[in-house]
Amino acid sequence: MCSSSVIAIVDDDEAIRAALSSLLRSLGYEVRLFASAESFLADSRASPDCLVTDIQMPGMNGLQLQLAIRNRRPRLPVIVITAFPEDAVREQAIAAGALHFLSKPFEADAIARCLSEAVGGAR
Amino acid sequence: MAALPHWARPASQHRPLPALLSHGVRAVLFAALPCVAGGLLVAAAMVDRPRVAAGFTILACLLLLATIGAAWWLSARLAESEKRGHAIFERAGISLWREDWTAVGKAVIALKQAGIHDMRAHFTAEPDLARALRRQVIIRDVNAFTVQMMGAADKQAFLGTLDRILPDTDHTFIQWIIAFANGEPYYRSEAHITRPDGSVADTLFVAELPGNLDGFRDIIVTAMDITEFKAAQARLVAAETEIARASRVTTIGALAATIAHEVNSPLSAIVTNAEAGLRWLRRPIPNLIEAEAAITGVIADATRARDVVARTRSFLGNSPRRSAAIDLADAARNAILLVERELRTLGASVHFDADEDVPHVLADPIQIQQVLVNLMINGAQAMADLAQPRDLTITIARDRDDVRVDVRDRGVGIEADHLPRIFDLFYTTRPGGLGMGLAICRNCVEAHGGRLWVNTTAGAGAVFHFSLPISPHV
Repeated sequence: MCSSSVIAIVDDDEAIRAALSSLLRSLGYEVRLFASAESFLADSRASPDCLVTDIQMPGMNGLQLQLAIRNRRPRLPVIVITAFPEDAVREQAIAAGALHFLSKPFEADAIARCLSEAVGGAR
Repeated sequence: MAALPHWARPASQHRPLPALLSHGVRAVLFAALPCVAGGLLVAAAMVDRPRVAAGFTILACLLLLATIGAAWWLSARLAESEKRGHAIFERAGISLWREDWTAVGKAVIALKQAGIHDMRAHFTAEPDLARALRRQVIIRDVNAFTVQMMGAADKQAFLGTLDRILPDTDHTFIQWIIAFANGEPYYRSEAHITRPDGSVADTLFVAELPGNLDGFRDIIVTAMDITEFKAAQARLVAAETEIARASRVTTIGALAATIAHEVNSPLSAIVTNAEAGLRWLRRPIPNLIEAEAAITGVIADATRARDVVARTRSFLGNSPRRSAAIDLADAARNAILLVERELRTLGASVHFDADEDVPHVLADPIQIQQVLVNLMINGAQAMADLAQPRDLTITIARDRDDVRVDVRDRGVGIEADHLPRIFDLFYTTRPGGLGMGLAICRNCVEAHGGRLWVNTTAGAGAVFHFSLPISPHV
C-alpha cells in the first residue's frame, strides 16, 4: 500500500470525515483528514494526489479553497461534495476547476469513479 | 349669509319651546272655538231677549268661521310641509330609501312575547325564518339620486320587497333585526345588493330606527355606493395576504434548506459508512475491526438524523409562536371579513353567532385565523353545487374549560369511506385540492393544546368543531 494515492478530505463535519476516510481506505487510498480549509492550507506536508472538499464550511469555504490551491497546485484534481447542490454553486465550482461535483448523500461507486478518474484508478 | 329655513337648520338651532307653544295654542284654539261657538248657540236659543240671542248667534257663527279658517290654514301648512319633505327626499344629493319594516317590528314583538330574546341565536339557527321575514320588508320609495347612483331607468326597478335587491348571500339582514330588537337608535351595515342590471354593488346603509316598535311604519334609509372602496380594500387585503404568504414561503424555503442540510449530512455519513463497511467485509480477508467501526458510525449518524427530525418537529409543531390572549369571536369576524368576497363568489350566506363574554384563549391569532379561513372556505366549497340556500353558520360558545367554534355547512356531507382520512396530509376528495388544509388545521389546533373534529351526516352537511383551552391569564 506504500504506492497508494493520497486523498485529502476537507470537511467540517466529523462524521462525514470519518465515514469518507473509512470508505476511501477500503478502496485502497491513503487518506488525510482536515476539519477546515485553513488547516489544509497550513499543513506544509499536505501534498495529496487529489482533494475532496465540502463547500459550506466556517471560515474559508470550499470555493475559496479551490481558488487558493489553484495558485499552488494548478493540476491538483478537486472533487467537490455538498449538501447544497444548487446549480449556481455547481457552476462556480466547475468554473474554479473542480473535476467533479457530488451531492450528499452520494453512493460509494460514484466517488470511486471520480477518484479513479482523478488519480488513475482505485487499488 | 342668508338665514336657513327652519327645516334646514341643525337641530341645535331649533327653538323647541316657542314652536311647541305656538302649535299648542293653535291646537287649543282649533278644539276650543267650535265648543265655545256651540255653547253660544245653545245660550242664544235659551235667551228670551232677541237682541242678545242675535248677538250670541253672530258671535257663534264668527267663531265657527274662524275654526274653519284655522282648519284650512293648518291643512295647507301640513300639505306644504309634506310637499317640502318629499322635495327634500327627492332632491337630496344622497341615496334615500323609504322602507316599510312593520313586519319586522311585529315579528320582534311576537318573538319577545313568546319568550325569545336572543334574536341572533334564533335567526342564526333558523336562517330560513329570516329569509321569510326579509320578503315582507317593502321598499316604498327611493329618490332620484338612488336611481342615478344605481344606473336604473326609474324608481320602479327598486320598489317592492327587499328580497329583490338583497341576494341570498347577504348576512346583514339578521343584524338589522337584532338592532330593531335591541332598541338601537340607529344602525349601519355594509351589504351587497343587486343592481337593476344584475351587477352587485357594495352599499353602506344607515338608518335611524324607531324607538317604539308598536305602531311605527316606515324608516328612511340612506345608502352609499362603496363598491370601489371595498374593491380597493379587498386589493389591499389581497396584497397584504400575498406579502405574508410570500414571506412565509421564503421562511419555509429557508427552513427546508436548513432541514435538508441537517438531515442530508448524517444521511450521507450513513450511506458512506455502510458502503465502507460492506467493502471491508467483502475483502478476501474481511477487516472486522474496520467494518465494526463503520457500522458503529452508521448507528451514531442515524441517531443524529433522528435527533434532527425530533428537533424540527418540536420547533414546528409544538410551540406556537406569537401567542396572546385572543377573543375567538373577534378572530372569526376578521376571518369572515378576509374571505367575504370569496365566500360570496361561492354563493355562501354566512351566519355568525358568538356568546357574549366568551373567555379569551391563548393562541397565535394569525394561525387561528388561518384555521377559521380554511374551515369556512372548505364549507363554502362543499356547498358550491347546491341549489338551495348555502348557509354557512359559525357559532362560538364556552364549553367547560374550552372555547368551542362550530363551522356548519349544508353541503352533501362527508362519505363514511373518506371520514377516517380527511385529516391526513395529502388526502383530498376535491379535484385540484392539495389535501393539506385540514391536516395543517388539525396540527395547528393541537399545537395550541386544542382539538379539531368533525360530525357529518351524508347528504345533510358537516360541522367542523375545534376547541381551544381558555387562557389562564384572563
